[in-house]
Amino acid sequence: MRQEWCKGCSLCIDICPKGVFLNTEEISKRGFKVIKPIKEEKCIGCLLCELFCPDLVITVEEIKEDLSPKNSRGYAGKD
Amino acid sequence: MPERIEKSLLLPKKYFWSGNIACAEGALQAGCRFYAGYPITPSSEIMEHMANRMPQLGGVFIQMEDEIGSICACIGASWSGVKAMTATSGPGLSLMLEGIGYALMTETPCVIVNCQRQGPATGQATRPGQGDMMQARWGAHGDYRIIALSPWSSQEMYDLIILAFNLSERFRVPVIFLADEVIAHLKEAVLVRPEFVIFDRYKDKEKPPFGEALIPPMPTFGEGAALLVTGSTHNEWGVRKVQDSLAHEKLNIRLINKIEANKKEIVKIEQYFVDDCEILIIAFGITARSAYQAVKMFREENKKVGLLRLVTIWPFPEEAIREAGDKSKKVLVCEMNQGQIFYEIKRVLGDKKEVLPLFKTCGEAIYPWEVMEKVNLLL
Amino acid sequence: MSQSLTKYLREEVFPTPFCPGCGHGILMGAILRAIDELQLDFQKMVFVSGIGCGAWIPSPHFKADTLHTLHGRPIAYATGVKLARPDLKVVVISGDGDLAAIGGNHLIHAARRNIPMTVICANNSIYGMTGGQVSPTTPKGAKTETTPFGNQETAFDLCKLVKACGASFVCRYTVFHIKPLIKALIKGLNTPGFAFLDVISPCPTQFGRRNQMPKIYEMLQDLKKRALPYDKAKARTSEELKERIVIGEYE
Repeated sequence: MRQEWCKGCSLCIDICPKGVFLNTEEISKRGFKVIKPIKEEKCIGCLLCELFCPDLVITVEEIKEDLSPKNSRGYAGKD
Repeated sequence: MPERIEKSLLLPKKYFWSGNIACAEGALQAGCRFYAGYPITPSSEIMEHMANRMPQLGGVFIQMEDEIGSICACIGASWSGVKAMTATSGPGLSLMLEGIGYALMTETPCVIVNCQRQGPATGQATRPGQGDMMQARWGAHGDYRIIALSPWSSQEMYDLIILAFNLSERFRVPVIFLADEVIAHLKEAVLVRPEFVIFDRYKDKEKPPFGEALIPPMPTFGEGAALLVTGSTHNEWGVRKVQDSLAHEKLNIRLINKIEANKKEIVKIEQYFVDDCEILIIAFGITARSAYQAVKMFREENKKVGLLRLVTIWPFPEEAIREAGDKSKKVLVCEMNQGQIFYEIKRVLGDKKEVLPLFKTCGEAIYPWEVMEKVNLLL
Repeated sequence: MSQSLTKYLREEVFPTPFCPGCGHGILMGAILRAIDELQLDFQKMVFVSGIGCGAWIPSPHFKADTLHTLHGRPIAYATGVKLARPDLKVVVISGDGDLAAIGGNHLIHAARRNIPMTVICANNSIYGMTGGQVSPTTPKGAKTETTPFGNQETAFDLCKLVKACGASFVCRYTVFHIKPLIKALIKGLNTPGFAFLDVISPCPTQFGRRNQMPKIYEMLQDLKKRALPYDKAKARTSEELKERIVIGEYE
């Protein structure tokens, strides 16, 4: 996520079918409360967040190696 | 500055052309290869001539849906690397003003011909006027400096339009070509020379296209320059800076200085019998033809009358007017309007000289005997 | 597939000036994804835009030749560019007010001439940048700054209008229908003549807030609800189509 570009519009929170994204209290340089992919392990790689983010913040990457026990599906939001 | 010698497109000899045809041919000689226009009397012949000639020269001709579309298409073409021109009259120029302002702000070279007629509004569509002089200077909103030329013959319709293009390319500024209906339609001999000096815009992708240098280089679309052309206030690379006071002031002042600092080079006047004159006539365009005739006739009677002809209207030839004014006792300003250049001349000469008007706005040219009548009252 | 759009962006001007949740941000991504899919030479493209939020999509965000023009006039400028340099790919991105109100004349003539260009109308049915005034595509009854009692005018069907003029490719999609939108953008960019895409791209700030949908997600759900494919719409009466948004290619 290009965190500096996030405006906290929360469309990713609303659109993600798995609840990956959550609001935070962190404030960006521009004064927005940023949103982060807190529950990365739930990502199924549908790419809706990437397609719908109005600020081009999110890029979804497929993680092939280093499958953590929680992330059995093999996808994760890129940080 | 990148200049080159171009051979004449046509066989070098005398041609018998109306001003409009001479203007179109001169533009083509200057390298104009894009014409977008809209029909309006008395300029339509320029467009019609272009419709015939552009395809012959591999250029582009389009009759747009209105004058606004015309000036916009010209600006788009100019940024695509092609010299562009449009021709219109008063009502059309009024429509184009926003576009001219855009060309000023983005420093886009282009030439706009105004074959003036009697206004305001529809006025006398087929009759001559010189009432758009101030519009050429201040028509677009905001602060700026512009170049405007005034031809007085078919020969000048040809030669001066080439100068207009050269100035436009050199100073990256739109140039307004102030003809009038008489000059547009008058058929006269035009001598086409074998060679011409042509200026092309200076290009350099590495330098900022909207700042640093007083006259910045101008890249073209499609060359990988990732140009940021905008009518909003911008920095030297074209990035919009609408909230930046310093950036706006810097840009605005540079646009003004660009012309102010080069006034000497841009301003062109002609003087006839001025050195020993008692009455100085100041005129331009078709009116200057009548004034010249009057001056010649006065001189035959040994009456000390001279003529200062303004070829460049904007920037205003203040120095030349002061110099010539100093030599004379009285100044007579002749123009086919109700006082536009007259008040500028009064401003320049101050209270030192008596400045008198000869105005005419009935849709007829000022005749030589009308000038003589007025001068005789002053002598 | 996930695409990195970084190479198309002038990163130093980000984050964008768009409001949080602006539909135009979604549209901007869709346009770049379509261009990326086609692997077009970005440096041989010219993006022309007018005045308004939609017009700020390419300028200054795209790292390509951009021409940010006067209100209503991008299509006239674009005509000049395309005729002077037929080798360059010309894309016009501007808003509904810019293209259909003040710019209506240039729109119909360029469509009539079938000049090869792709015109993307970032349609939020309002004049967003100037504070939320009515536009020619504002639906009847909607509240805006200049229709405080509800809009009394009928909105344009821009697709019908442009198709009637003779354009080669005309379609409408919404930013909710993001995948078909990207496909349509690809088709539009590949059209040899005049391509027009009416993209419904909602404005939560100026339109949504005044019309009971202050959040972008709510506006997208509304688009989903109201959308009706062109083939199905053909069979319906205008009364039935009143509240609907017809999506798909117009024939």
